[in-house]
Amino acid sequence: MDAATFARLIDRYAPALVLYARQWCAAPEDVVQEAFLAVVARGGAPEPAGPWLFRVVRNRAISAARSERRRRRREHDAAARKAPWFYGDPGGELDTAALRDALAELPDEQREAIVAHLWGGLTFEEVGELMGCSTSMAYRRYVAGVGALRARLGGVVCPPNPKS
Amino acid sequence: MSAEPEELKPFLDALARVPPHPGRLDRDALLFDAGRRSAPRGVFWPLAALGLAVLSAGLTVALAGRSPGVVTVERIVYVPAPAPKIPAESAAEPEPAPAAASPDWVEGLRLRQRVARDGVNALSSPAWAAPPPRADIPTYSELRLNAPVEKGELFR
Repeated sequence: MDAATFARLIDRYAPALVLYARQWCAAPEDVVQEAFLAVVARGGAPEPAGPWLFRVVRNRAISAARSERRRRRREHDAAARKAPWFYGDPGGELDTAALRDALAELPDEQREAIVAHLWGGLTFEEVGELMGCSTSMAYRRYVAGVGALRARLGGVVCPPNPKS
Repeated sequence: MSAEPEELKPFLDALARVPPHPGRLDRDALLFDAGRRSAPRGVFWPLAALGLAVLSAGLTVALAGRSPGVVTVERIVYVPAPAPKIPAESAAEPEPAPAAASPDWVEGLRLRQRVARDGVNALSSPAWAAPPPRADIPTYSELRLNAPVEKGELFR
């Protein structure tokens, strides 16, 4: 794998993977970095790279969360609240702070399905394999999560941007 | 299964337009680390370290398994050495005799011993004979040692 391909892989998946790992651990960046270095160690990412990266990040994040839970749960919560989850978009239609809070309040399986499909670009079949459930179950979790998000953000969703 | 509910489509489009934040993830540092880890590593130092580890382990085993019965102790032992034999006549060493002693040499040696024992009186008899008088040489009696010398005689 050459450097340009690896850089494209980082640009495509790193932000979504960090958001994905946030629901488990306080240092998602470290987990994502280790996952990308694992790509280098094995000589390249399998095709397609997205599901493999999400699976590696999921396993490492859960493992890191177990270690963190033993020693500093309160620090984890404080760090999770402080870190930005999304880029601020003044002209956007959504309040990113409200979106972060609403996403954090979703059940884990719904949030996981939304992040993996919506920002990670995984198909529902890949999301099902990732979460260890069927494709239809992944789809149902996704739809239920998006509905819950819309309900929570109902009052803060900006009107559609006429320019877009 | 990728079809999504139509009533959620505008909301999903709005969600998809919000990019997630990468947090503290440093893209350049990650690329640097990846490049460093992908660099080929030489086999010399790992093999050298392995060889030295095996060698030191073998030496440790050999040292631990060495028999303690063989102990080298250095001691100083004094042994009386026999006295060297000194010959009795070594104090007065004889003069080395010539390989073939001539009769004159033996006679001379005897004469020297007599002189050493009896003094010069031992030389009473001269060993040599006076040569016969010569006619052209005046004797003592013929010389006029006390005769008066005439003037000018000495300068003739």
